[in-house]
Amino acid sequence: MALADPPPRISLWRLVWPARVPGGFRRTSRVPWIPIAIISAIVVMALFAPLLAPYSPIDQTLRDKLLPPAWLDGGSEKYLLGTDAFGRDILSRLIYGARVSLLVALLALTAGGGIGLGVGIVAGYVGGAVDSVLMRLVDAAFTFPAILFALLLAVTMGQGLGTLVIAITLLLWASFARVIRGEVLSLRQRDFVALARVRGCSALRIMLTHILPNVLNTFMVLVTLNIGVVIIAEATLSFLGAGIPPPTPTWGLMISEGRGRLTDAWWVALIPGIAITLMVLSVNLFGDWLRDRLDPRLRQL
Amino acid sequence: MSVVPPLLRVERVRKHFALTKGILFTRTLGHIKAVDDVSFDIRAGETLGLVGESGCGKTTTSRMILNLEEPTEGRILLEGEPIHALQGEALHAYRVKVQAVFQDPWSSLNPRMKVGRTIAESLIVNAWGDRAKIAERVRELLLQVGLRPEQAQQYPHEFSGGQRQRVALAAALASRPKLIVLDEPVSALDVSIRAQMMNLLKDIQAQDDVAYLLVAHDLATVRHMADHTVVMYLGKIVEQAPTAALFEDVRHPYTRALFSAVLVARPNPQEEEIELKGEVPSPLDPPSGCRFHTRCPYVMPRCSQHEPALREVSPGHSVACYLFE
Repeated sequence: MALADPPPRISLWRLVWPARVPGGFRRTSRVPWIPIAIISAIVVMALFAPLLAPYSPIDQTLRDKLLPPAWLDGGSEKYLLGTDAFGRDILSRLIYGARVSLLVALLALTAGGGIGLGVGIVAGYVGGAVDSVLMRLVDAAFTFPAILFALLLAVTMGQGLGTLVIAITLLLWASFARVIRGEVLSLRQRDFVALARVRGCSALRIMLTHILPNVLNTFMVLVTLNIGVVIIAEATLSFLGAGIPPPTPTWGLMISEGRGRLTDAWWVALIPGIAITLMVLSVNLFGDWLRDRLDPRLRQL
Repeated sequence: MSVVPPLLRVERVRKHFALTKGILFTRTLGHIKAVDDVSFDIRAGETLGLVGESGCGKTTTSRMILNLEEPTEGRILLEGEPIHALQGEALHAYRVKVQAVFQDPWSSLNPRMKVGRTIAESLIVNAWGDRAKIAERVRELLLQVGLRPEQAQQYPHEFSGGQRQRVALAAALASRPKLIVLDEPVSALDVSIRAQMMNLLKDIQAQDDVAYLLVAHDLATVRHMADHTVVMYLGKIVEQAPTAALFEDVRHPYTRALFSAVLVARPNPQEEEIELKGEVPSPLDPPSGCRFHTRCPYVMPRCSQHEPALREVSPGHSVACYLFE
């Protein structure tokens, strides 16, 4: 009897970036543990920020300003990731910043995703003139310069969480509506929808009990794939000054504050930049995996 | 001649679908005459078979009877009431009386709904009774179609095709309808399961006195199930007769071609076989005169000019063909 082949060695890298199979598709079976770990870590950071942060994210200690991270020359053990121009601990600000990012993501995805889900189901199921009107609204939303609108909103309504969430919601809902509508269009052709009508179900009942549960998979995939978009949008708007007003720490704001000192204190901008990159990369990889598991038809997104 | 009005009367029904081009400036290119001047009756407790090739309008007819489509012309009466005028309470009452089972058991159950809930749906929607009463009825229905009551808690993916079709039937039976439209109820099933399903349908008819409209392309199913058979070709009825009479004495060349195409034990083996050539003409531009004349082996000059009317050739047996005038 021949000896069995030794099990193939799987590098850790392959977990993050799964191998390509001959068909050209990435293999879908592997659970993306590293992205899940990173996302969990950031969520824990956000939830328990007051317990985890070594310092207040707002209090200034000007004596200690612009200290580099602890492992560099001149770094202090007191400040693991260094300090910014006002002597605030970057690690603490990063931990508190995760709160804002996740809170904005949660609110904007609930609002934007929810509106998109509702519009998509109604447009797809009711059809006709209602569909035409709603889809023209979606087209209009796509042509809207979202960033410009957010800046306008910040000027008229003032900066803040509400403004930020409204701006990102307006950016998101249309893409949700378009994908969900397509899904509903194919669902309503299925016999169980016609049979529900034969049994005497109202249109509202069909949409809630027959259509909605069947688009939830797609919806969950869309939500995950859009977390990255929201985090980037929040960071962009905060960077441009249309987001949460200082001194509340957000990752985008931290980059903005460090921008002028990239040559002498690069860590002030780079560290939150790395945090954003890791978070967005992780949710996107997780979202890709979830999509392949739940709804492979969405692969082109 | 009975004086009792039929359960369902289809009266000179037409369904034309407009074929349009363009989005902003819509032009109508023509009409697809899916169903053209069709009339028939279904009596309480009997089975009417509706036979024809795909595209002959049989599914459109059944969808109009189910009030899923509006006829372009003509009307459909259930117990004397035109069904497309119904609203509110009367529409609910109609929905209770007419139910359906469709061909594809994989598409006719909501994959996210427990089958017990699917079966109970018409009872819930029509406020038939309280929870306990509905649960009891679902249990009874599952037993009636040969499934176990505890299967109510399962999802459709746990069932085979034949079992799903039984669930679909249980759901159709729930409200004790007077008419069930069976659109190709067995054609998606394995041959070994077909007979079981057909016998189940017959048993249920004997118990509950429900009428069936059986839409099929398969003559064996119709012969086994139907009391009366209607043959359609390109949206028109070409022949209708009691099933026994039709199988004894096939008249219309199209019906004979259908019989030739399947291995049915024919009482008259000398009868020549007709093999159809060519495609079914487009319903967008149906042939003039008799719609079958382009493929008919007995075509006569008048067939392409005038349309033959349905004429009774023997009691209850009507044919639309100039051969029998």
